[in-house]
Amino acid sequence: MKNKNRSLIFTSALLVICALGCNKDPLDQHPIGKYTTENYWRNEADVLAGINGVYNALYSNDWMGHEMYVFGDQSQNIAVKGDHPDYILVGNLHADPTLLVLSSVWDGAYEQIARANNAIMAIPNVPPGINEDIRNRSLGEAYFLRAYAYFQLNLIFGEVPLILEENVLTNSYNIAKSSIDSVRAQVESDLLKAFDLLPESYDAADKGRVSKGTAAGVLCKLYMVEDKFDKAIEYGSKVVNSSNYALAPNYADNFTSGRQEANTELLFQIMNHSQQTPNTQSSEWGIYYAPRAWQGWGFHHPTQNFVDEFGPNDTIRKKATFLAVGDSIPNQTNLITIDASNAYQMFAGKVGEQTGRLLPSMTTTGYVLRKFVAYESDGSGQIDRGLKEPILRSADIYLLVAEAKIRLNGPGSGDAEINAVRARVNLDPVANAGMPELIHERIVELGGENIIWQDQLRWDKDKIINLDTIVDKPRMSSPLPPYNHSVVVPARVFTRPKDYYMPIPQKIIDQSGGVITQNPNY
Amino acid sequence: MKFFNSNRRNKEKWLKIMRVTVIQIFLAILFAGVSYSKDSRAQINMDQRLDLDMHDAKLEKILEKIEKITDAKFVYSINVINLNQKISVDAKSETLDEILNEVLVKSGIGYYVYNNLIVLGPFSGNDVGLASLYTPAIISVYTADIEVHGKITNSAGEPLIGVTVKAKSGGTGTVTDGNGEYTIVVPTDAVLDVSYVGYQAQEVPVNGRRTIDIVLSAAVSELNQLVVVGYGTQRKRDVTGTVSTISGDAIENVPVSNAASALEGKASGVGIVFTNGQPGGVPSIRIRGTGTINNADPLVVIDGVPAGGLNDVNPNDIASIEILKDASSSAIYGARAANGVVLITTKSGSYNQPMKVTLNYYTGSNKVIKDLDLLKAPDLAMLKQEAYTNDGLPVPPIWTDPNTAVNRTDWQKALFKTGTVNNVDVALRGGGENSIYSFSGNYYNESGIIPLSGFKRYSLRINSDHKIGKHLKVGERVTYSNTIARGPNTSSSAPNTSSAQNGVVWSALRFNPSIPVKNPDGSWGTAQGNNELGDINNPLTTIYENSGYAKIDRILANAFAELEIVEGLKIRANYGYDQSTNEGYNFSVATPTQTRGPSTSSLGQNFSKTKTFLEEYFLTYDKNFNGVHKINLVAGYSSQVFKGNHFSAFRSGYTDVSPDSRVLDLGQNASNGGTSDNSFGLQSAFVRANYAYREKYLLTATFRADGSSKFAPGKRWGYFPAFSVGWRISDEKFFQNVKVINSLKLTGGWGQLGNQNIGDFQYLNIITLGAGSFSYNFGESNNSVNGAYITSLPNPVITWEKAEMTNLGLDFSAFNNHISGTITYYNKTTSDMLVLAQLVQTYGDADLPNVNQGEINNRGVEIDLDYNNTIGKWSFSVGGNASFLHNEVTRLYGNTSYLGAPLYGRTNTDISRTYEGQPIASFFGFRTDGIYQNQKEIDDDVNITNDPNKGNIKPGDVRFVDITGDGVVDDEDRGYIGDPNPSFAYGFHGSVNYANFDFSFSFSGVAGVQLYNADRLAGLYSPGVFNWYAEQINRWHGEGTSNSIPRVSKQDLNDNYRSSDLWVQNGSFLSLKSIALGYTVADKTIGNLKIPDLRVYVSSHNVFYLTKYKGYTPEIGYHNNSNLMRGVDFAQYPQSRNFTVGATINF
Repeated sequence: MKNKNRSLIFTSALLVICALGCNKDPLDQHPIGKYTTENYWRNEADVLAGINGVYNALYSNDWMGHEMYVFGDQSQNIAVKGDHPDYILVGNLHADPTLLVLSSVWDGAYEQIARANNAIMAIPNVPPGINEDIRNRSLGEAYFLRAYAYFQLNLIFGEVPLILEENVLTNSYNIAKSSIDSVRAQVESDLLKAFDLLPESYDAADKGRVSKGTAAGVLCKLYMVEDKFDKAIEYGSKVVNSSNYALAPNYADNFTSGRQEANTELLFQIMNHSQQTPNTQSSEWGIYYAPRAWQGWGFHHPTQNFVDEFGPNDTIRKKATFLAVGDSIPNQTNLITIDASNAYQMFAGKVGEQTGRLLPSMTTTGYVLRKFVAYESDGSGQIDRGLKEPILRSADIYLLVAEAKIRLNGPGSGDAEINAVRARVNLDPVANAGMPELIHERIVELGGENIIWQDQLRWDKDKIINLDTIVDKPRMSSPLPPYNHSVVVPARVFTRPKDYYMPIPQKIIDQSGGVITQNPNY
Repeated sequence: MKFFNSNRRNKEKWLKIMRVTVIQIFLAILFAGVSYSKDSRAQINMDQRLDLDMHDAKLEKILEKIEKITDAKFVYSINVINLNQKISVDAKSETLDEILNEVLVKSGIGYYVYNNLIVLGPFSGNDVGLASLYTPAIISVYTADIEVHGKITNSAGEPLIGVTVKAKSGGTGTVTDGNGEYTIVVPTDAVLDVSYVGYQAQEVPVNGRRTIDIVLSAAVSELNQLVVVGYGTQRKRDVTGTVSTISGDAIENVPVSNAASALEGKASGVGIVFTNGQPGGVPSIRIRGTGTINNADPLVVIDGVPAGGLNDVNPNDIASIEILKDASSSAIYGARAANGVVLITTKSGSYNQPMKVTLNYYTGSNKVIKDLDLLKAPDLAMLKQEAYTNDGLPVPPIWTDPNTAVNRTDWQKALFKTGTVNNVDVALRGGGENSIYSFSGNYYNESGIIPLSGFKRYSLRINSDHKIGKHLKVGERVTYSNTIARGPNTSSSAPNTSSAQNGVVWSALRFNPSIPVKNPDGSWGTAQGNNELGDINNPLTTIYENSGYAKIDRILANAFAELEIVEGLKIRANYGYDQSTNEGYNFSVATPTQTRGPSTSSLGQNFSKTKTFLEEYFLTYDKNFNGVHKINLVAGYSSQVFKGNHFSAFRSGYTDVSPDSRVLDLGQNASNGGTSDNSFGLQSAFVRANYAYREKYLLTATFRADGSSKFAPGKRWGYFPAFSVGWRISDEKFFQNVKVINSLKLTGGWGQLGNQNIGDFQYLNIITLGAGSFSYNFGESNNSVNGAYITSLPNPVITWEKAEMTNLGLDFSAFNNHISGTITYYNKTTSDMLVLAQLVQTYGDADLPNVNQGEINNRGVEIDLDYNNTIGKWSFSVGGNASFLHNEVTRLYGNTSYLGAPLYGRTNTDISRTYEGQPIASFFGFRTDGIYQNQKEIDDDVNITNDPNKGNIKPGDVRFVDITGDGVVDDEDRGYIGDPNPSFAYGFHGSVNYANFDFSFSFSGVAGVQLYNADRLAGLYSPGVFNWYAEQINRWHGEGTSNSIPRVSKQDLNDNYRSSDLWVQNGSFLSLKSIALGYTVADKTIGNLKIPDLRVYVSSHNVFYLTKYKGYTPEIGYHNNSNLMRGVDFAQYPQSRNFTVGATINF
């Protein structure tokens, strides 16, 4: 064989091999099982999943899924115990910039903002063919969820950097804080867009999405913070006057599994899913409130100060709000052996017996918040992680409208709204109610729902109350043994203006290299 | 037949004596280098008369003259006959017999005539001796009837001059001439024995052929050996880079599962870092230090295919391992060579070699090297009481209960058992004129010192090469391996030995000694009764109530074709395919009586498959211009694509946990998942030129361009140049008078290399769509709907890490090449090192991409020295190597931030941090200054003048040092407290052969290194609810009782166990890694029984450690494969000591 022939054969053999199985353009590779900003947002399905992804941020325990509730521990109503020193320091008005809970909620809020920003940027550019109602609704949801995150950031930290579409486009995340007014203006603008874009209500399959009423409710809350009472009444009335947002017939429906999904009162709730079904999601929020012996983590115990707010006839709300020692809760099947440390009240003399009732060793105050604790109905004793997390109820808006009216027009002008709330729990109407009555009503109606402390901060700023005379009272436990009305958290000192806002997390200040500055007084 | 010596002839006598066959063996040695002329059967006439007049002539000339004028042919061994001796002869019409008597016998040479041959040998005065030596050889030659010719070359095709070729059956032979050609007359069925210094001897059966060309392959550990470099071979004398070669012999039969483990201490600059001692665990290889915080493993190339998996290669199949250390030698692998390259060449057959069957078996046992001293139950109870009383707390009744003070179990003895290792290899190797083959099979089975842990491998390998005509060669290398790693725990491939919850060694060291392994009723002993006993599971429950394995089926195959287009120019195509199928299985039985459960039984299974296809084409051109200019050029193209997919399934809630019921179908609560992995591809072009001028001045230049799909278009291609030069000083004229030094070569080089071993698609803004954690729920019926959001942010400009290396080396050999060595200096800087981007966290929570921001420097000196000699029956070699290494992260985030590592155990101790300006993975913590002995020392201590915690500090607490000088000990006082990277590593090894005995040893050691004994922290941690180290008995309990172990305190208000230098220990060690003694029985026949070549041996691995380190062994490597945490003792699976006996039989 001649060399030439051999070369020919060799070369043709290579060509054949190559044609059959060579690496064709080896560098042309694409992500598998993932999308990029270039090839996502093609159609309606992408838009729906993209918006679901923004809602999904709410589950995060670092954010709405629990850590935001830590800031409610500053009120007299709740005493935190447990092994999270940062919770205790927040509750005792000793926050410092290095606390983990601060950077947790910061990161969680900005993650929700990031997801919403991407949706806001992408949805208008999704090609035609998409149902335009869904496009508008989805855009409205994105604006709402961004606004809500900034609203919460504003309540907790005051001034924060505003990361909006332009920042995402230009990858500029290291920017100075915006003023409190600018942040609120952004929240207002987003909420107004959401209000325009969102539907009034949803059919059964889409229950749980934010609606016009949700946007109106948060606008009402924002205007109350800004002391814009006219506007608060204007937007609050859109909730109060709509049957789509009517109060639930039973107060407890707001906190009962299976009674929440279609509940018109729940303007905004985190749609948890029972974890008995694999591959579904829920926040761990309920676990934080359940006692350890009942498979929870046992934080945030209601104080006697809170319990004492309830009038003698306010039994419906009281029963829905607390568990006291000796109480039981449906479907709770974990049996605990009564030992000497628990042999008090109804358990006296019962050492060695087993019980499913709340024992003294499960709470430092004698009480556990019941609103947020539920058990699976299958007898497994597992916490019902499918309990929805109520974030905004119409009752809150009723009382805000009442407050706005009282503060504009004086006592008695909010009676209708207050009495609507009271009637639902079989309480006699009030007449000529002023701020003290309104404040009492908010505490008992909304107690434990991480609302009252923010109310108190805003009332203190407006000199309606003096927080000094509130926090100087220690937080107490139950008068019954073994607690004997002992001090759970001693009296505190409220420092103005420092304690109106939390410090910016030190991590953020360090990362920004000084672009983001610390809040005053920290 | 006549024999002439002193005119006495006695042929019959010789024929009898020649049957004494034992002497054949000696003959074979004696006849090395025999020369003779052509075959002729004519009987020489010893009585012919001739004239011969030569004065002072060389014997050689005289013999030539006689051959010319007569029919006589002389046969002699040049080793025996001094051809240069000068002799005078003046013969006039004398018989040949007379002339020879005059010329030869006077010179002490005897002769013997057979047909026309005159065989010369030493004249001892005893003719019998002479003839008895020579006759068999002569008989052998003259029963042959064919003449065989051929050319002997090396694997590069260069002729070899002076190669000895002889018949195996009888000792006559020849040597090759200046063209590498030989001619020999042998029986048609003879076997040629071909040997040459520096090459592997070969046996070639003649089988009636008249032309036999033979290619000799270089023997290793010789100065002129051929070195495998990327895409070719090079003579070691021509190499201008730094390449370490480890021959297959050096790692043969070491009782370890993978070749990397056997490399420890064998070459300078090659760090073998063990993570733990679990069976089947592959240590990390770190060439010239840790070159990046990212994947710093070298590229492993097996028979030309870049594919990892050292566990899949049977170490006994390996012919040689070449480690390319410097930029110039690794640059041919460009983008993947920044961490060095390990080239593995497997054994193949040889042309014209009858099939050789090798059978090898060894069996051995493994034991834990030592136990740690722990407290016995009575002392533990006493100290627990003290911990409470020291704090003024009531002592829990359990510690005064006599039942808790009864020692029932030594948990280490309960945990560790004797492991075993068994290995069988069979290899068939050989070849004909046009084909060579090698077929080998291996079974390796190691059961670990922790029950149910083990590693098993079955492997098969087929290598063959075929010549098609003179210019075309094709061949293939195929390996199939099946490995099974077993581990009795939730991580499938190995028992969990790092967790402070479920780690089995950790649990054994912490579990209360008053608890029995099993209760009288057969149930597992448990700590559930009282929290004071600890909230962990009985380690034996963890082991026996879990089952798991990881199985890997792997096929690594390549095929090549090589065509010689014109002389010196070859084109080669190489296709490689690597496919790996991994199966994981874990079943976990519910153990509700243990404190950590699990409460329900569960099964998880996963399956994944990865594959890669490689194609390469390259041209090689070799040309030697008049011996003055020698060039070798290589240019080629390569592409490789990697793909894979995986899926998994999980179920829990098993009611029946009998072994046959542990299948997915029988569980409840199913969940599953899976996806195709991202593919990635590489595309490269490369060129290398070697030039030598008069073999003295050497130059190598390499350039490679690599494209990687991991980077954005526009950032994909990296260009990696390298060059090196060499000067063979010893070949200079002025050096010729230096007799002691045989060779001396100075080399130097520079080059750039790349690393792209990072996550995929970091240049893209990735959106993940999914159920589960991505989902949200809507509607009255709680529909879970998929969600999508951005999960990682892009770095559009991300690109390669670049390593730039300078290399200077000096190679020498001296004292007749008995001593050889290398000294090398290198300086390597990895720049554009990929580190996590630091962005103000207003972007949310998505994963951040890496940015090309860091820089790390490694520099050092490497020394290798070898000595070989043979004196009489003794032959020995010793070698040593030493590496000095300095590692520093030179750029990171400035002083403001660092790269962290996982926190340790229950105490969340922050141990390892990587800061700019410090070695990678440095230890971080407080400095201490003894123990406060009394209250006055506390009151007067300037460290804590302003410390708010001062009131909590009691005598017996640790005195932490206030580095900042503000009178407060706080986090600001923490800093660098130790370096886990050895600054000096060394090894020495040797072998001695005497007659049939062989003995070898290998030591390995490191110095200038610290280890963080985190397990000692856990073992002394007084607030804990676990057993303690025995040394807790020496705790401070009154002034002067201890200055190093703090008082026991339940509350520990001084935080005595925070990260500090108390837990940093000297990690230097010297270990006898292996020692072996063998005895070889050469192949021989006793009666009709042919005894094959047999070697029996005994050996031991990890024989001892000389170290001050207090843990199990000082070989503690990386944690979770991260370069950011090294040398932290988590109570890993300890290394074990092994004893082995074995035998190797060659048929």
